[in-house]
Amino acid sequence: MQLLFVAAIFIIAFIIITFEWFNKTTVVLAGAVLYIATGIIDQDHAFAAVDWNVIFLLVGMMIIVGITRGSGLFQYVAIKAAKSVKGDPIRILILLSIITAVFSALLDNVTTVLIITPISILIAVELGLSPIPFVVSNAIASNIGGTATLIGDPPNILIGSATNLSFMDFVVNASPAVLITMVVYCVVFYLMFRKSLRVSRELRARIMDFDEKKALKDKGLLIKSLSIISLTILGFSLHGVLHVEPATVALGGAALLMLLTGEHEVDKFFHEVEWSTIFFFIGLFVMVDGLVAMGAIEILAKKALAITGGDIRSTSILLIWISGVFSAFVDNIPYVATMIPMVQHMGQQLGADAIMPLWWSLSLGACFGGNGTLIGASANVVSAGIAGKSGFKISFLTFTKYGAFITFLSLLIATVYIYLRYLI
Amino acid sequence: MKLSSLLDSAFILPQAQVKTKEEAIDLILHRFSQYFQTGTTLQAVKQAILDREAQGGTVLDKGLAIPHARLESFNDFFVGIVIPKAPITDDSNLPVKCVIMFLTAKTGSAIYLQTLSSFISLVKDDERYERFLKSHSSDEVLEILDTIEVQKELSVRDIMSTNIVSVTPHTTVRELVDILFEHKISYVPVLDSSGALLGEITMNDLLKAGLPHYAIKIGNLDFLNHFQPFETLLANENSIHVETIMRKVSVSLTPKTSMIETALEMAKNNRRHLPVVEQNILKGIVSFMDILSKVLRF
Repeated sequence: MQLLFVAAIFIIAFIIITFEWFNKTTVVLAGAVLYIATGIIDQDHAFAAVDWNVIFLLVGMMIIVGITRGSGLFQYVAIKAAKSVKGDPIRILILLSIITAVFSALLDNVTTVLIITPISILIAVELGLSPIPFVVSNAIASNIGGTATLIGDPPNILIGSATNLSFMDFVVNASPAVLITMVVYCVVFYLMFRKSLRVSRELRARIMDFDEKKALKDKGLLIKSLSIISLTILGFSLHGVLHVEPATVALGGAALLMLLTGEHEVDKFFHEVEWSTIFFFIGLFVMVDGLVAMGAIEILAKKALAITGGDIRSTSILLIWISGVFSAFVDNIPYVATMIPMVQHMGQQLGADAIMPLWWSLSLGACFGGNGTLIGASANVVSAGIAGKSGFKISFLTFTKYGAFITFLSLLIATVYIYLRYLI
Repeated sequence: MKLSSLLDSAFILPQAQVKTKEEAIDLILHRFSQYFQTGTTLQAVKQAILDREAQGGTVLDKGLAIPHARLESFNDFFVGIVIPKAPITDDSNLPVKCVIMFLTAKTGSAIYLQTLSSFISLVKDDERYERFLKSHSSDEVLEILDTIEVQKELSVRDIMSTNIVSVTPHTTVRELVDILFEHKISYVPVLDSSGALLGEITMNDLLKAGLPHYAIKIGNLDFLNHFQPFETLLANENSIHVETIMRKVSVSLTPKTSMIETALEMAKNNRRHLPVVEQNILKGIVSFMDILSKVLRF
């Protein structure tokens, strides 16, 4: 009975979040409180369920990126790139996608598109072109790029923290699949838009007129934030060896950057933290813990294994596609948060080493799946929002037309990659 | 408190034979000096009044002139009324039909504004104002003013402007820009046909409408050497309507809102203008310049 109640609340919360009837943070916090108030889990357990490694990693990165944004570094890189290909639109499109993917691997996807999308629209408008292909390709590239590292996309942060997989583990295991996908994606978009993105030399000259140096507003800030970002990434790459958790690295970077850039502006720095996202994670951890405590996850894990007969190959491949399709329509963060204890349960039955491929299946499936539809990932919604407010409406179908195709290709690549690397 | 309680028949001079405003001021100052001690010379008092006159804004609607001054060494409130036999036309285009002179202590702005607002309510009542101007004796004047009350507290009603320039949701941006330019204003309320307040537009909203959303999001456009922010706005100024760029009313006052509350709302919300609304109907607009000119430097 209790189990049914817990599951029902969870599913209702999931549906409300998917259809955006209420703010998702409010929904998960209300759900978490409901679980505690009805005695499903006691408060001590509920608070202990919050993965502070995830929370502080997010807070630290938000502060670092928030401060760095003020330096104009990202605009500088985007303009420099556009000029380096002499304003040729198709090459700008591809180059901006690659830049977006790289930034997304190191920063949050939404942050990346918030920075790159406006400048992409500006470049397209200056070239007299529709910005829509540029905006769509940025969003897609950010979701692909984010998959590459532990800090690139929330599903990876969740998986990394739950499994003690290190930053380098992700670089070694996830990045190759991402690299292949990026190459295929660039080729596909090149072929798709090669013909339509042609403009006169005069329009291209307008791009060459941009003075990227003027985008760098604060040289001092630039040097400080670049050094701290490099240090932080170095810290991430070594955290497995140094036995320092990523959250500590991120908080360390944030603290150092705050020390360097302003003695009196701490309040401003903390405004860079998206508190609603942070509390969304907190509420979600508690809700998932409620499911675990009631044994709901265990039942699901057993059911799933019964279907695949405990065979790691079919479980792995099924997980890629289920995660991909699911993430195309619902928020992949609660999905992955729910799947993690499920995979852990499978690990108890099959052995922790045996289920390693499942983690990569979950990561690649859930992250790539975000490209499936316009609502599949926050990065898509945010970029479409910026484009829409600028007068270039991107409909659900327009985005999905490109996104679904790329998602299909990337899930296919993930399947072949995981099969060849881990399953034979 | 009754307005008449603040007045004294000795300082009410109807049917006065004065040709200029200065003569009117001299006349009333002479009476003033017979009854009051100020610690300064009469000449200094007159100079203070003339200095304030020079800054302008002391002749209101319907020929009501209000020369006034705040005095350092004066701890009272003085009101003198001169009604010229024939309207004065010397120094302004408006014929002055009535001169009401105020002298207050350095900090006496509240009582001054409250009293002034009672006189404005007299002026608004055409029939009564006519009788007032035609009075033959100070007692007659006092009788006419007998039913007028002075409010205890100053409210936004006393300083708001009521001749409002407004637009409708269907006004085009072209018309809007013309209106802002013509009246040299930076704020217009958006009203429906019944006078209900639907939204508001500030110059800032217009500037934002001229900048594409992506440009605002980039945050720094220094690197562009040729950008025409108002290109699209100007090209489409006949087809973009006010309703697409107006914003919802976030803060509004009622006519009874106190001065302190008005100042607080302006400071807190970083606003230069606030609409004054009663039952959703716009009654007036108060601007920070109203506070400057009518409260801080009257």
